[in-house]
Amino acid sequence: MGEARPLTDAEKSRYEWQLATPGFGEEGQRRLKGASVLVSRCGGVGGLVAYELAAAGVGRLVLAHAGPVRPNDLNRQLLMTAESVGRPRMEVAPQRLRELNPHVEVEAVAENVTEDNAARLVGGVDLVAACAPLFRERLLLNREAVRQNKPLVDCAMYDLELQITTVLPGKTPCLACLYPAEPPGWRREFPVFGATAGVVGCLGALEAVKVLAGFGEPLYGKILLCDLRDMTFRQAVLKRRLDCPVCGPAAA
Amino acid sequence: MNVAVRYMAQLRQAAGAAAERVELDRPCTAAELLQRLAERHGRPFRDLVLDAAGAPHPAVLLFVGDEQVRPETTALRDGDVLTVLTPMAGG
Repeated sequence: MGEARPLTDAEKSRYEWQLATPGFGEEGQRRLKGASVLVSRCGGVGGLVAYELAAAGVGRLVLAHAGPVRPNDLNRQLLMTAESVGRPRMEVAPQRLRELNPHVEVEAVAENVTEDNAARLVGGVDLVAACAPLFRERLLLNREAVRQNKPLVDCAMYDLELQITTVLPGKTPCLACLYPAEPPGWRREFPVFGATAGVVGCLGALEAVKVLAGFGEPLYGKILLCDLRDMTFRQAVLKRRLDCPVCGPAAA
Repeated sequence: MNVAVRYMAQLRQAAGAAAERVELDRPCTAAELLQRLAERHGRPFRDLVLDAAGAPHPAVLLFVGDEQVRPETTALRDGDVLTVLTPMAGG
């Protein structure tokens, strides 16, 4: 983790309401200020993760997402506006985050995660928020996070359902323990409301805040499964895969 | 014996239901139950839960109660609630 950094009077004033959170306090806020998070990608879920982390005062956000804003992004990608259609996402998102919180440093990378950039992107931050719509990208982030011993918050949705877990390398199952191969039949486009993305994005951001500031009980070794059709929330305990190609003994 | 099966994510649409009850005339593993369900529901359900050889796909997540289980080594018991989930990547 990055080193905790002192707060200015303006920051103490801005974060006054959350500073009163038991177990968090000024020390937690200083830790957030000294921390950095990679958000990949910055769409429906990642946009909300980034928005909430900026609001909370994480010191540096690295956003990775290629391409321009499309009209059909607007039902869920709340960092984007109608006027931003056609513009690169990585121009629009940093601007909106800086408008929200100018104390936060925002670095925009107009690339999706690939074999070529995964090690560098993960290497530059303290925590990874995996929010990409493709398993290939999530598994790449997972591999690098485990290799570089960085915590990873995996948050995902489908329809009115969502799943979220937090990987702590060496301590918990990793994403390759959950799905060692890409699951069959996944389509990049899927049914979803923006509010579902908002729920999982906010949950993911809160997981990151807890891990970085060191309070609460993150979803280490557990998965939260939510069905928003009937508002069922449940946790289940995950198992490490002894033959995991990423975090198992054979990977060492 | 009687087992309740709950589906999540893409499997819910593929099964045409969020949940179902299965009557088993003999004890079986979660893997055997998945194979029976794949036979019952056909495609695309089968393609989501089984690999080309007809074994449970390694990416399918199974939970009995609130514990993740491996399909081949988990013997189901009367009254178990099995949750079957294809992982999500929507972001």
